[in-house]
Amino acid sequence: MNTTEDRLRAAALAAAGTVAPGSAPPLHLPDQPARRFGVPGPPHRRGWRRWAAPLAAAASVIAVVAASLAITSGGGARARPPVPSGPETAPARAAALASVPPYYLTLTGYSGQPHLHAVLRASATGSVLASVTPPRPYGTFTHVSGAADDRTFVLAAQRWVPVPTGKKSAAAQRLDNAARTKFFLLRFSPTARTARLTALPVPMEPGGLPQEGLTGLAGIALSPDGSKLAIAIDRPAPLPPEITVASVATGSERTWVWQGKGWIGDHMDSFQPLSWAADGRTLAFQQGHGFVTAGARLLDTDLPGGNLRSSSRPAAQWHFAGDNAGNIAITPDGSKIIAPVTTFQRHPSRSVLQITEFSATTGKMVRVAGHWQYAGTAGGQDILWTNPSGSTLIVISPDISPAGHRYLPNPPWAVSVLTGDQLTPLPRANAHYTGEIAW
Amino acid sequence: VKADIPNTAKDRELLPGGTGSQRTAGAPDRAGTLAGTGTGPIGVADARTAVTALYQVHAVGLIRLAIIMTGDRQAAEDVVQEAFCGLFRRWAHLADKDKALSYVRSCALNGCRSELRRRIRNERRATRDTVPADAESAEYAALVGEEHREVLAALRRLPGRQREALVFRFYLDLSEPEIAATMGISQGTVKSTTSRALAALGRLLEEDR
Repeated sequence: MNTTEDRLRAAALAAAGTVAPGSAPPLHLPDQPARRFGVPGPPHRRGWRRWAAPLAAAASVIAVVAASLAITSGGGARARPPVPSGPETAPARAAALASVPPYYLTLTGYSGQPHLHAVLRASATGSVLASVTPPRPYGTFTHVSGAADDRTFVLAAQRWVPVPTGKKSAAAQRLDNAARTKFFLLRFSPTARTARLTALPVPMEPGGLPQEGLTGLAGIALSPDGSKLAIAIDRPAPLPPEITVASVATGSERTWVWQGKGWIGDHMDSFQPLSWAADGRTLAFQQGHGFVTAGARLLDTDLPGGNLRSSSRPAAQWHFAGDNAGNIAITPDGSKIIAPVTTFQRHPSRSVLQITEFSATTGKMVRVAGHWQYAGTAGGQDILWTNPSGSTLIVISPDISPAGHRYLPNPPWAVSVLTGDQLTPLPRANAHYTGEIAW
Repeated sequence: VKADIPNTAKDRELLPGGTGSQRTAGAPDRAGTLAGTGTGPIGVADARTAVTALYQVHAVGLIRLAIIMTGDRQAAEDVVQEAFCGLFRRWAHLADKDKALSYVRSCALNGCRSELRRRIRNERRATRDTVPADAESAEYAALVGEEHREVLAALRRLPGRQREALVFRFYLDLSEPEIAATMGISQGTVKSTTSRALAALGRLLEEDR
């Protein structure tokens, strides 16, 4: 942050970022306004006063009737047994959509095809607010990540190279993994509905989505105040994976290398293995062994670069089944890790998916936020965003509210807001890879 | 800031956290306007519903604005709460309900100014042994970080108009005409105020080094 403007902007965003969506306290209005209610009219309409008393009386009657109906309705609801995942009402849906950041950035198109561009949408409606294409010579965006405010994002861009395959069905282009990734800062102005893209001085890391036997970008995460960018790099064995944290303003960086067995991120898919706490210092990253055990570790990014294992500490560990372990998130206060835990049973073929909270201090399970069971192999399940308490999440999960012990046959998947047992799909939110959508 | 500042199309959306929702009677849409409340009898229940709905959509954005101005979450929440109570009290007298958001934002900014003035008074009275009046909460300090806190502290030392011009320009990303409309001053004054405020902020930050 070199200029006063930049410093002020970053500081304001950091302060605003301390107020999470949906964290406003309840509104307490006085019982009665100071003055009598009526129909305010222009001064020349003196006759309105004649109607004030009858109108007030009518309003009182309506209010009493409405209150009676509300009480009756409430009594009926209390008399019924609790329904954990009942149909969602319009107010509940609106409240759920209002409890998450107002905008999200997503990459359009189907991954594996060239020229993905970024689209900024309103969380509540899915409407497009701004659209950005990669500046030349870059052909596509590959990853996105957002700061804690609702309008600052980082995009990773990459070149494409033509591939003469001789097959009509094969892609004519592929990601140029020899070229390096370029990072851009995107700042959205809600008033002007414009998005401004600025090239970052962050050194370009090896390019490419992680692919078998190739070095690739396993994930990026912008710190809550937008000042640091964490980058997870996956390398083909026996080269070790690593995490780099770079200053967005200057490009200066520190790198930690994972010495030993196990993986960071997942070489089979491009999901988001990194998550920042609100202090902008603690970075949670996912680390595991094989296709059985996953865990979260906490890296103190104020430490000098070096050995990733010794610079971090384990926070939680769990089992997973399927091709990837899914996204994790750390709550802004750093107290909890939220992770998708999956188990698979072969005979009969059944999977259980649980969104689970772990204490980042003790590693113990604190709460199961969502629970699904269905026939077949476990698929991806991801945590994309959490509010400060972990009570409201944005997840990728089966497109149905947590179903208890009902087995779901091949459920569709969706990006949704999960609050308690209520799952609210976000309009038009979709992501083939979880690194392609951010709040 | 005038209570009846123009509520332009862009102005209506300037608040971060204003997500909008399904438009229902009495509920604010994305622009902060209110459906079904423009005409007709207005009762206490209607006002309560409309103000509560407006609060649900815009409270977070206003608290964010207030916390930048005051640096204190509790004070920010109080200021916003009081602004909405003020809107509720004035509801019947608000001729244009579409300006409700502008009204409540003005109230919140007035509340922030009062809060800062109150702190300055308290600081002058404070003895050596008392807790500084502008002490930020430990949680806020931990979340925001030292570097940012210095900048925000310097921002709060600026005169009110300069402080607000900077926040409108560099946090809310308002254009000069929008800032002029919101603050009730000319575009030329916006330009000069912003320029002077930036220079003053830079000097304050240098002094603090």
